[in-house]
Amino acid sequence: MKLLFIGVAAASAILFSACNSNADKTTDHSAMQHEMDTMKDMPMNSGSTSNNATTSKFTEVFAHYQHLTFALANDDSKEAANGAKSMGEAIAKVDKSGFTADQQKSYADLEADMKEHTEHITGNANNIEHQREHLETLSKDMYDLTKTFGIGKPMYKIFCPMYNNDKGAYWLAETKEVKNPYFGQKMLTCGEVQEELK
Amino acid sequence: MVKRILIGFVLTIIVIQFIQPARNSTGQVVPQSFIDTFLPNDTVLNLLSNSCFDCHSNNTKYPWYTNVQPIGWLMANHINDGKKELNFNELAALSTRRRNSKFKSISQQIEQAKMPLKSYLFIHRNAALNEADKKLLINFFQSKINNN
Repeated sequence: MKLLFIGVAAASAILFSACNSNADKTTDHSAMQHEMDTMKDMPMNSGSTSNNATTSKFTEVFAHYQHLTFALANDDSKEAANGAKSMGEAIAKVDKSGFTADQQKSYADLEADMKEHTEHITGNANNIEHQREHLETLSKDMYDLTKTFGIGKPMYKIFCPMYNNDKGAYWLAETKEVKNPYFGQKMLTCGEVQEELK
Repeated sequence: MVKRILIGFVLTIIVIQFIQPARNSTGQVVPQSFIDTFLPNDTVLNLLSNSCFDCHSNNTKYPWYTNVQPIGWLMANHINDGKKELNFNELAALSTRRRNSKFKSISQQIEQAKMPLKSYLFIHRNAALNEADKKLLINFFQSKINNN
C-alpha cells in the first residue's frame, strides 16, 4: 500500500514536471528516473487501465470481504464487524460510470443486497453465528458479482459441505488455502475448492 | 419540594399525551400484493397476521394503550425498525435476489425463535408460534426461495 502510494506520488510528480519546468528543482530525479524505468517495463500499463476499469472497480470491495472472511475464520466477530463496515462503505463508493444499463440494474440489485448483509454483520459484533448466516448470502452476492462483472484476478469458490445442518455453504478466496469462515477454529480446514473464477 | 416534583411529573405526563405519533395504517388490513404474489394458504396467512404483520406491514392492530404516551412512542419506534428490516407490503416488489435474502432471514429468525420478539409476545400471547406453526411458516418461506 505504501509502495503504491509512493508510486502514485512519483507518477503525479512526473506528470507535473512535464507540464511545468519550474518543478524540476523540487523533484527528486532518481525517484523520477526509477519510476520512468518501471513504466517502460510495463508498456501496457497506461493503456490497460481504462480497459480494466470495470473489473478493478471491485478491488476494494473484495479486499474487505476477504478481511471479513479471515476475521470469521479467526472467530473474531469484532474484526468481522469492522471488515463488513469497510466493505459496506466500499460498496457504496463503487464507480458506476462505465456501466451499461443492464450492468447498472444488476449492480443496483447486488448493492442493495450486499448493503443489507454488511449492515447486519456490522451490527452483530457480539453474535458471530448471525454474522456467519449473513456471510453465506453475502458470499453468493460476491460470487454473482464476480460472474457478472469479473473481479480482475483469479478467485476460488470454496465449499464447506457441513455448514447449515449439512446443507453446505461456500465463500470466495484469493488462494486455494482453506480457512473456513463458517466454523472458524473449530473446523478451520473444512472445505474444498469447487470452482476457479476469473 | 417533593410536591413540586410530583406536580411537574404529572404535568409532563399530561402534556405528552397530546403528542401522538403517526399511526401505521393504510386501511388495507392485509398486504394484498404479498398474497397475490406468494399465495399463502389461509393457515399461513393467519399465522402471519397474528404474529408478524403488526411490525412488518403497513397495518398495525393497535391495542388501546397505544394512546398512552410514552408507550405509543416506543411502539412507533419498534414498528419503524421492524418495517425497515422487512415489510410484507413491499416484498412482492423486490428482486428475486432480495426476496431470497428476506425469506432466508425470516426462516432463520423463526427457527431460532428470535421472532416474534419476546417483548411483543409478552403482551400478545396469541402471537406465539408453536413448533407446528414454525415448521409450517419455514416450509412456506423455503418453498418461495428461488434458486435460479
